[in-house]
Amino acid sequence: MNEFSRLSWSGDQVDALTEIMNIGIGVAAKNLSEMVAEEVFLSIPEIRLVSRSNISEELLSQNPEGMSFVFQDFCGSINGRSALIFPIKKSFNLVKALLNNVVADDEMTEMEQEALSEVGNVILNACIATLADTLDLHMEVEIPQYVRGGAVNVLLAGDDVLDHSRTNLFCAVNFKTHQSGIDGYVLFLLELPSVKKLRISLEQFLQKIM
Amino acid sequence: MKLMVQDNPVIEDNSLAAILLTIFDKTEIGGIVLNCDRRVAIWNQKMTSFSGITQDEAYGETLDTLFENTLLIRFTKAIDQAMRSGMSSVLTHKFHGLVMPLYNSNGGQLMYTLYVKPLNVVNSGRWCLIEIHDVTNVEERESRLRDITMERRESETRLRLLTDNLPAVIHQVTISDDGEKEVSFLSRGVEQLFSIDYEYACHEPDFLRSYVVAHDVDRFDEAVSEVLETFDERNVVVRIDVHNRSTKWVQAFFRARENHMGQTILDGLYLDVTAEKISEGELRRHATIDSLTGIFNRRHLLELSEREFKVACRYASPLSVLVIDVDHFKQVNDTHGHDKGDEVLTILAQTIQSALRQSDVFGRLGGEEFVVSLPHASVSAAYTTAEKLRKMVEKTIFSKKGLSVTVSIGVAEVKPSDKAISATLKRADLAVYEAKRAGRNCVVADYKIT
Repeated sequence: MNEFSRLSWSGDQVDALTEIMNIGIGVAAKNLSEMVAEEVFLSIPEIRLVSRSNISEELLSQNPEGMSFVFQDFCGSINGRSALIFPIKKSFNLVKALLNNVVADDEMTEMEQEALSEVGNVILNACIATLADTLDLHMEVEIPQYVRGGAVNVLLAGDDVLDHSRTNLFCAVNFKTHQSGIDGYVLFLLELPSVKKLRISLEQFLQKIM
Repeated sequence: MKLMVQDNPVIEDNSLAAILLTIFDKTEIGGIVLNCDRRVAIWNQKMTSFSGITQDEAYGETLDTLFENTLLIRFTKAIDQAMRSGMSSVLTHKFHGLVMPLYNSNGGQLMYTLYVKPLNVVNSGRWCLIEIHDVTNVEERESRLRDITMERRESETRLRLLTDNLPAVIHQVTISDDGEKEVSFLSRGVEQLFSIDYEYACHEPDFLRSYVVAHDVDRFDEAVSEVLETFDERNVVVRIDVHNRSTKWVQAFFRARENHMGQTILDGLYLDVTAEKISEGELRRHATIDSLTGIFNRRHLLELSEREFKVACRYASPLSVLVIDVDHFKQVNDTHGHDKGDEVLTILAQTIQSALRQSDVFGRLGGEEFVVSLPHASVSAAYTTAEKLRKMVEKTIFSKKGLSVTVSIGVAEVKPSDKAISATLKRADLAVYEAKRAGRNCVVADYKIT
């Protein structure tokens, strides 16, 4: 909450963003369910704003064995990178659960692991589309990139040099899946001007509905 | 190659655009471009190959028409999302059997990864690019790889089960050209057999050698180097110290060969032969030791004495024998019981033994008779020893109740005319007879030196 208020976000704006993400994740769950013809359950325990310097520490400490991530860059009304992050071992579980395979973890092939790209694509597209539709934003979104066991810097750098002094918006959404009990993160990395734009869009949205 | 937008040809000449279009046409990736009306604007040769639909048939049609409504919903939604919202999507065959009915060059179902990307075309809103990557070969390779891995794993498991349950240790060390050693196989029996930690042994190629007792190390080294030089088989029996608590006997079989990479493979099979060694030892002891008193039994006593006789003859050195007979032994048995009698003999044996030299041969001839062979002793020296022994025995208390026992001793020295030690013993025996007649508890020597 502190980070948000430091950037002069109001409580209402944060709530609105939270709600939008909730909806987005709900859509994602629905889409995944259709894909695998069985119910996929995604819940959001928490949504936070984290500073760039803290996020890498946190990710590393919570995932000591490494992470898998799928990221999609976007540009337009706001620019940034969306990412889906799993602890590396759990990433297998998710794919297995969705593919109904009984293959052992270490036998998972490259192709099966890349199936995570599609899972990431579904989830991230749902979140971004919901955001764009609700706030009337226009963005082009690129295809997902899948990285297994990648360094956090790969995720955070994008085209810019990692800069700890700048405060960028990191919206961390933890979610769990139904059976596998997997904790993952949805991360939105935005540059400062985009952070500002987002807040303004939220404000406009709130004005419209109030 | 033509690009049609609303029936108006856009490109027809050899401009750069035309060249690029040709490249797109000939690429190995299946490529479709849909215009803002979702009709096919570009359909490359690979798509024809995948679908059987020619370029002319495809131009201007929607995908639904071309594929007669067999398209996956997620696919059509992805196209929507691309054109309306600018979102890209990826679809893998892992989740969707058939996004579209497409076939590979073998006529089998195509396995692919499909990308849907929005295209911003100037003055024409959003178009859509669809890329189809054929991953059939990759899938096949991965499937084969998985089969091989499974087989290997099963094979390894079988081997492990077999070797872990053997009462022997199988050990294989791979030695590279530069002398680097690595344990390439070790059965788990090593833990039970040698009380050695399996993990430790896996990282110590020379673990066995480090447990061999100092005395046997040279033999061990010799066997191993011979094997490595000649590639012959060798085996060696050594003792190993297991955590300084006990000693075990190990028989190690070694064999070596070269593998196809020029490395030397040293195979070892280790058996615990401690039990066998103990039995061996026991047998030997039974053959030589008198079970009651713990000193040499008759057979061994005579054998050793005969040996001393031969040595004495060869080197012309003196050799004397004492025959020691317990006085009134029958009485001891009758008065105090046979157990007491046995005890007396045992204590007597220990007492005498403690007073003799290392080189003296001492054993039980039978019943209550004992013999001492004294190398390098003349009859007079032997007499002195005998007297000493007699006094000792006289002083010894044989029971808490103060039972005392005495002995009669006959002394004889080996004469040139003696053919074997038995002759000497006979004379000593006669001397004992004399000692008994003289009243017992005394020493009589046979001084006739002819």
